[in-house]
Amino acid sequence: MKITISINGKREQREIEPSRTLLELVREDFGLTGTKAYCHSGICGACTVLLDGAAVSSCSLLAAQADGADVTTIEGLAAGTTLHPIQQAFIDHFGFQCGYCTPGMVLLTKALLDEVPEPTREEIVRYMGGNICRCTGYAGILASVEAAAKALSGEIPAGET
Amino acid sequence: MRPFEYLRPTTLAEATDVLAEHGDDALVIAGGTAAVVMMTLGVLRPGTVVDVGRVPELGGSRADGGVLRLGALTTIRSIERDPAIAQTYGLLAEAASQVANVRVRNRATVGGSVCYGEPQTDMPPALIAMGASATLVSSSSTRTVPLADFFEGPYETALEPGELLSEITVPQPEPGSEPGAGTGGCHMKFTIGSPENKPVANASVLVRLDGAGRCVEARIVLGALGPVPVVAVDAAALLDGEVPDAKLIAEVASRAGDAADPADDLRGPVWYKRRIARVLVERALRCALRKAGHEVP
Repeated sequence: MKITISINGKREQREIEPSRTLLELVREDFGLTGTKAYCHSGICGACTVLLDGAAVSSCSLLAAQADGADVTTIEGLAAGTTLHPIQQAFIDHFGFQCGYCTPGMVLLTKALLDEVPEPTREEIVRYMGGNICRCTGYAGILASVEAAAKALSGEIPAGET
Repeated sequence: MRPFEYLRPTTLAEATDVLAEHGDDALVIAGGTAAVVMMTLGVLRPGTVVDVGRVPELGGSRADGGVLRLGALTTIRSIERDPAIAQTYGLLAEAASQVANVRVRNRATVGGSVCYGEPQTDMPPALIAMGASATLVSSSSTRTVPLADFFEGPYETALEPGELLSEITVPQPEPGSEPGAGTGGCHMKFTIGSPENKPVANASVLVRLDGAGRCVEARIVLGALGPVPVVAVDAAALLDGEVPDAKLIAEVASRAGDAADPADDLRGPVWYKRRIARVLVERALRCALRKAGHEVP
């Protein structure tokens, strides 16, 4: 079947097998391998993408279901060579260890801060608890999210998180 | 994933026609959060997938005439965040906020979470405690089934081949008529490991008190503690006409634990789940009473 999908702001048409997931489409057809495959069950959050702005697991969604939607992957956040303030905050606060969960964590942070610009620590934990870091580097991730919120709200200048 | 024919009806009539034609070989998907995973794992291998996610008649929710109508496609996340639902149907919002993780809640629908028939989910006990019913439509009929009668076994429901759940209706809890009277609902779950894991047990409790703090209505529904949600009728009946105190709450919780019908599995042995059920019901009942205006020391 033919689908039309906007990936990171670029409108694309593809002929796809209906049995393929959005995760497979993004990685294999578009070569956007920043979206990670792991549990294939909607549990771990490594394959998180934004679908019309909402965080979803791309493994548990058919590509056909995303027909007509706007999809944002980790590759869509930076402006050229300038990192998105959330990405910069994750670097500044050591918000990753092996890095496998990081694309999902960064995109989930984007969804959270779009919804709640100044979340409390408890709100961050509740919202993001479903994305799993198997290195257990959660303290760094929490610090990164808090710093990103401050950078995005202008409390501290971008690049100085 | 095994290939299948993919159909995406755009009207309810088209959807029921397609289901009438394909019968048992058709898998209906809405959000896809469970169905797509089950197909990836090979547990479900349908010949035809009917994606009802774009059928407008199945969308939208509204409260009118003392009834909340949830279109089957209403997402769990929108139930969690809708201020009108939180105010009058707080038990539903509370259960919705505890479903899986935010990524799942963004996609999963109330219709899907009921039709899936999974014993460990949060919405069925809350919906049953609130007295909800499901409207089931096919190309030739429409019928309404109380959700308390909808579940027949793990992943088995009253849905016949060719039928589609179109809407869930929830009666508005009766407000207390006397000063100090009130209705309170509470949903709690107990999970080993991280909170988005499948729970050992969950419990939904709804109570209504009169002005003297006497319980005039109580419903206790347990999840993950049997092949289908357990409605603890005998336990709830102990509250009839009583002003609940600590001793009565403990008796109710104990009776509810007796009604549970759990199985040994990775989440614990039967004796353990029964004890968890008692603790959960006690906590949820105290919480519901507190919200109804009756704090029990």
